Amino acid sequence: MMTSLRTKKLTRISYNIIQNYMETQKFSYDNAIVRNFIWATVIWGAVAIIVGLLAALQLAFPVFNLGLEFTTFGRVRPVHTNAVIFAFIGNAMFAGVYHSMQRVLKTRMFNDLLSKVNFWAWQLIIVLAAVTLLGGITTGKEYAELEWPIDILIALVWVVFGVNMIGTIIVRRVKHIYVSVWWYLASFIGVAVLHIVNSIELPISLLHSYPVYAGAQDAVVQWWYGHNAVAFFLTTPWLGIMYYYLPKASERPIYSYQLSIIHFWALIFIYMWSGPHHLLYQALPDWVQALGVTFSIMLIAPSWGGMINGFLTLRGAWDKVRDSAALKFMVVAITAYGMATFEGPMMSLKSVNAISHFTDWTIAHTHIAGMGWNGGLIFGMLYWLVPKLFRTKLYSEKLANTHFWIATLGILMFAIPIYWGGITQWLMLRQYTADGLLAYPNFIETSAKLHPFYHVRIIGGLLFFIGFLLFLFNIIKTMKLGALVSNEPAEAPALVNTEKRNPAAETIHRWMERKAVRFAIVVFIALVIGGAVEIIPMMKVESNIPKISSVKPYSPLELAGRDVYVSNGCYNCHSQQIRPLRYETDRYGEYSKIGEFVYDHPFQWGSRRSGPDLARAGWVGSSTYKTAIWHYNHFTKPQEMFPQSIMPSYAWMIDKDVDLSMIPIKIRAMQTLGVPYEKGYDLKATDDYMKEADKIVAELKASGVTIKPTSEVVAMIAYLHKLGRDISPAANKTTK
Amino acid sequence: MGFVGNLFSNDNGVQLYNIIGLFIFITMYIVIVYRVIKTNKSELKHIKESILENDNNVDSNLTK
Repeated sequence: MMTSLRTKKLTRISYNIIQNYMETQKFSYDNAIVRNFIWATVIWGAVAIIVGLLAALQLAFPVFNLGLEFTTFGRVRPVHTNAVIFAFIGNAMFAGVYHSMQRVLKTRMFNDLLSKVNFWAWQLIIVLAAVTLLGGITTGKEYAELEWPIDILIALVWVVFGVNMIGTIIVRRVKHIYVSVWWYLASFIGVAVLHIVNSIELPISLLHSYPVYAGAQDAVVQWWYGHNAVAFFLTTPWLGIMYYYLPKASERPIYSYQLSIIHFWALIFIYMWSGPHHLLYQALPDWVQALGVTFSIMLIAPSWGGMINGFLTLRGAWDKVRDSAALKFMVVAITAYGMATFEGPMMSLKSVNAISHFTDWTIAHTHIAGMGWNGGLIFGMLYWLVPKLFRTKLYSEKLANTHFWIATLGILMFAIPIYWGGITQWLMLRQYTADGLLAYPNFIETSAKLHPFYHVRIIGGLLFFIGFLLFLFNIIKTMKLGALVSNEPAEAPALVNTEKRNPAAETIHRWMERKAVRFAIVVFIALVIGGAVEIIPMMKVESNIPKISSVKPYSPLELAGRDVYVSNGCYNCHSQQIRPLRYETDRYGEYSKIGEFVYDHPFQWGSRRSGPDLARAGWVGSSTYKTAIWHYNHFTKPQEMFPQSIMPSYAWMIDKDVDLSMIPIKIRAMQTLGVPYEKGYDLKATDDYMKEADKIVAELKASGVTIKPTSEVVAMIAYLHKLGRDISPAANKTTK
Repeated sequence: MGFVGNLFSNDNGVQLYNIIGLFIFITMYIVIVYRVIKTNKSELKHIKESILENDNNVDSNLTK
């Protein structure tokens, strides 16, 4: 009797499973959200390129700084980088992910409301970013400049994106998760980890905060973030997009699915270790630098595995490449990916890094990757996707091909001159006379040589922009030619996803990837190992940050000046890091030590020198030490002092006052972060501020300049006179 | 987290981080390559070709 019941029950369960298995479910794809992200991509793309062109013009012709505080290069450049990365490439990434994920997983996005929140909140972030950065509201950390309320908004939107993604994976109708979705998932987890760890800061007002990390620790965290933002925002989601759109556009499956699996795991594991290659020869323990270099070199293998997989997918389909602009752009993208992922590891070799770091070489490298790899994939994807989405043909294939050739020429005319300029400047900086003296002791002699290269770069950028306008026209005409089906009907059998693994029919990997959360946890572990091994010892091991007893905290005036320096993005042109290379120490003075930066929240080492290094601007007798009146004149009329200078005028800074009510709050914030001001110093800080400012005011008055002690210029002069002063012989004499 | 705290309380052995990292990576790499090679080829062929099918009407084999 019991056996009969059990048999009946089992038969019923089997019947239900078969019913479910056979059931074809009707659903629809959300195309409206994809269309919205495409619109945002083309609009912000145009804005990002225009701002980039303005920045390029400013470097060649300083008059384009327009004499306004909001349009100086130090503020415009972060707007350009943020607009390109988060607005143009970010929106295109969402468009690609939202379109392909629904098709790959045979389901609509998990929640329409989350999709809409993702879209609108992301656009809000972009607008807030542009407004705040131009307004001088910045954290001063490259590619992470946005202040804490926007950071929180980014984190929330990213969680919305992640929940929507994981939810979609859970409700999918296919058992196997195609490799593109692995890349999307890794991107979500990677960016979440990076953004949260790098954005831990102490707010002191609605629009200002200090990072909890200082100096070398801040540098390690920042470049771990900076490098991996390139990895997990500009590379991994785009590899997912490549693995979907390249087969789709060429109508051929990816060459090797096995290679794509190896590519995925190797890349996400290795990338996180490589951040410190941005800090070679700098004030950082050697072991961290060695770790960064080792893993950077290893990155070539998985990266080129992906590139080869992409190229071989086109085997037998090159005739299609001849005719299709979409495929041509994808070929350029894969080529640029191969170039950039070979060049990147080479740049992480110390001998090459000595040339590329702080020169335009790095700028050329990033533009090959940004315009070639990301740009190529965006244009390729959209030339294929928009006609499909609007159920029509591309308005003009000929126009798209014209765009391709103009854009490619634009990339070359952009990158080649600045590669050339970068190496030229390095050669000049290290040139010695027969007497053993620097051949070009004044930095400006070397930067003046770059002007012709900067002029050609503008032509390259203009060509790229003209190509973009053709693209914009073609896409809009294509959209008008067809009609979007906002909710595209589709059908697929329901998924029978059994929990237990059948070893005979399923590998461990397939079992693991079957469940989104389980797979996400494994990806998370692979991702965080590299970061943890570098960052935790930097925080925990005291010997990594040897202290220098003569280095004292910033005075209230210097601290306010530092905030003005950060706010105006001075780090975009001036480094504060002298590498232990002869031609640097001969030019600027004593090389930088870790202990000099222990009170720097945030660090301001910079990554590019359009102007000289300022690490010894407070060391009396160094080449960069200048008197108060010199700084005053230089801030107001830089070209009158050096006709070849490309420094913007900061005349407006004279009339702008420091908010003295914030001084005690800043001191208390610094105390919270561990800066050893005496107890109760916040109450005396404003008086000390005024005393120190009065001295500078008197010094300027002796030179015939009358100025208020609360002027931002006074604070800036005090800050510049602090740089390197504490380890200078003069300071040591005073201490003794 | 006490274990982690103790582990990172000094920098003895920090020179081994490269080696440990390489060891973890190479082990993981060998395992993945081995598993990938052992995976059924026809299954992988089916997966990679699946995205080329019609997006709107799907073969029931994908749910297997």
